[in-house]
Amino acid sequence: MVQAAGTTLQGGLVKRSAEAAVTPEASTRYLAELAGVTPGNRILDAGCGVGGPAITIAQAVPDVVIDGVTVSEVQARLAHALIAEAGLADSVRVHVADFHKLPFPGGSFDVALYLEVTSYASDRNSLYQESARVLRPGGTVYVKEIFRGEDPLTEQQRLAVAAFDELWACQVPTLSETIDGIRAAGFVGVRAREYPFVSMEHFYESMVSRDDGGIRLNEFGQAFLRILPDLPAFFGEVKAHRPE
Amino acid sequence: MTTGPMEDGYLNDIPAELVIRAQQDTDFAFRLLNRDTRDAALSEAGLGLTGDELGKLHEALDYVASMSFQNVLQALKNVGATNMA
Repeated sequence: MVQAAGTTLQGGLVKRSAEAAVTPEASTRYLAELAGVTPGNRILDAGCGVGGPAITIAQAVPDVVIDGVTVSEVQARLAHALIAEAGLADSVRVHVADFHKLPFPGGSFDVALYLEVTSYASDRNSLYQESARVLRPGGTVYVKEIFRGEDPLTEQQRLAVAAFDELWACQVPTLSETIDGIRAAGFVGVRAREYPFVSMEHFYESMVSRDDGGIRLNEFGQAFLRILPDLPAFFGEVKAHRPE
Repeated sequence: MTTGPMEDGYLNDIPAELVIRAQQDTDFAFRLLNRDTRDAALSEAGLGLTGDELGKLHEALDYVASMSFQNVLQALKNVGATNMA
């Protein structure tokens, strides 16, 4: 996955239009725009991976300061190296911490980003409560996620979702439970939608290896293609604000 | 992704029987998409193609294998739909 998607550890890259060329960086810049990131913002990147999106945003939007959080010391080390290489040590910081218990005072951030990470939360309601705590009044929570279809699912769909969760060691949420969790945390102005244009080309490419003879399905591809036909899933966003 | 004269024409050079089997058997499909395993897969399918047809089939399968994997999956669906229509 890291090899296929560079330093953006996401399965879907969001595009402005069907025709738009897409790169991980272009997708991140578009997501930052959708989240309402503006110059000078203090931004939380909850579940920041190796820091690719944080670096892209810091390069694209003037004067932002971004705090990334990951539970992985390995990811944090890689992120520190990439941030230093990009010359962004003053504007992007990465912390090893649990995103359910953030190491920041209340009201620290203008925007909190959750980019394909909420499925890894052990308790999504407490995740959004913590997000509300660290956002300033009027601050924005922005969730980009792969959502599973709403219940009821067919037995085949249910099995595909269970296999997906097992493969990724996650629990993919529904859009409605995400909206409910965000509302329960006190956010207002909740808006949600399925992204109209998403490229998964890099994700699909991670399922195969290529040599002079052609392509070969790798172990991940063999596992994922068994799930894919029945998987009821889509990429979408939820955006909301902490009350003023 | 490779572009050129094959862009639209490859659909006609892959026999429907092959596509149907590839759609039902992922392992078989991927054996077709690598030259190291293709001949055995084609022999197993027993299509009885002429030399010219076989040449065009190899060319078409090489073309599919050169596409992005997302497009490979789509191509399999497209070819199936086209040849079965």
